[in-house]
Amino acid sequence: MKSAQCSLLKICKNGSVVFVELELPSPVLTAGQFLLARNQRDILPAVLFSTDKRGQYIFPMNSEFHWEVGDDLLITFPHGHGFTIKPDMRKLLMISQTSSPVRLFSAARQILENGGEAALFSRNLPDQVPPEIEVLSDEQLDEAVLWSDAIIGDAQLHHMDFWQGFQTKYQLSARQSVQILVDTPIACDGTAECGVCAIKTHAGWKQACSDGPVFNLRDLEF
Amino acid sequence: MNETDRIVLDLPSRWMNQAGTAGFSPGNQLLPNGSIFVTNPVSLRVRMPSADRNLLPFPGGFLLHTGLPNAGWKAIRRKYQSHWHQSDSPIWIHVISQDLAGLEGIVRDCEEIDGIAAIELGLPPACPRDWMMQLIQSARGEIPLVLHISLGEDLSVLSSLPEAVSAVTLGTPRGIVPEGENGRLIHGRLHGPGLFPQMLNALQDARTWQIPVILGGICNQKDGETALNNGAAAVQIDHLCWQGGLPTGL
Ligand code: FES
Repeated sequence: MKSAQCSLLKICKNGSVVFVELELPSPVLTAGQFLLARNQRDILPAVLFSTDKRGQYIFPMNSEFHWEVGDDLLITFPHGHGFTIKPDMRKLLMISQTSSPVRLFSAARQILENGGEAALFSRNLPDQVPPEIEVLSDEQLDEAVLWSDAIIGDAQLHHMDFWQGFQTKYQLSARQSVQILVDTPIACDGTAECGVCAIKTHAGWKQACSDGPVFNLRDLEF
Repeated sequence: MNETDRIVLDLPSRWMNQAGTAGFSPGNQLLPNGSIFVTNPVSLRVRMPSADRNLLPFPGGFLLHTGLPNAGWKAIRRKYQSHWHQSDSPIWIHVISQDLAGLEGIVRDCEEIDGIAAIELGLPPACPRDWMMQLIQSARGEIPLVLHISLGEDLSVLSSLPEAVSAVTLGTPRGIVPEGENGRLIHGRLHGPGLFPQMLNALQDARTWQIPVILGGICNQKDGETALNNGAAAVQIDHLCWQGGLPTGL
């Protein structure tokens, strides 16, 4: 893990979502990994994920935003395990169950750059979705699941109901991988084994901060 | 009770971490050499993470609710005994057992493990004095016993503590913070620099207890020094441990 001091270059708000641009040699994260950033006044660091735009990160949606352009931030990176994007993945379906799907977009960017296609199902669409990503309606979801060869999604720790029956409902084939970015609070980043980020899997309790935050749907125990 | 009857608690350093801030092994290099290492809370049996675990910020700090998950004493002892034995830091085991026989068993085990310098016994919320006395009775042994009580609990239970208790740790209070938009109330331990004035106030009141008092909840070096200059026998550092370790000059 690395640490660095960096400047906050830009803040853009999009509805309830805040994006920040950091002066960092990019890219420092793979899709689904996160960095921890704090200024001198912060008691705990903020958990930032990359978006599909170089140098841009999304600020946690449930936190009060108080940074200013020009703030010096102390950051540590990379944290956690992100999405596994294999070269043979060509048809990516993103299903977002959180208040913004943009953390999934950097995975889509990778697939698009490899010549693949990407589609998105989300009830909380940001103002701008990259034009190459097809936005799906409720009626198109079932068909898109069958079309895809990789599915990625997100969910909040205490709101996993959607994913609970997903695998059985869609009778996914063995070649269809479903990876979920699970939103948990992050306090100690694993140093204290505090357990606030704990996720139950078939192999026992795991820490989202270090073993995740991306998990294979098949491994999760509901 | 004459204070000199108590088992003397050796404090080679007056700085240590607070239980729950640095895991179970001192090997993670978060503390300066020689400072005391306090383990995460350890129960007799395995404890699962709480179903409503959460981290909720408030001005001046945050509430952390985890359920104090741990693998249970036997598994923890198996995994970390050699770390404790090899460590330069004296190890304090923070025990939260509510099973009297189990607690006694943990203490006997600890007496056999090189490197363990004290037991820190965490009192449960709203612990009545007679239950506290039974817990103390079960936890007394050859190594010093430190009683951990949270601010906000009835501190009068601490008047005239038995000689088996070598010191008291005053921990940060529990509290309630509403969660996000749904406003569901989450209970948990409070942390953060905003609590220091209350902690310092409690430290002043503790002067009458006639027992060394260790003040928890310290979030910066200045607050730690203030507490040490105002009667604390030692201080416990809170989440500062998560920010890349503590200053080595402590
Ligand atoms: S945040 Fe503490 S263990 Fe993951």
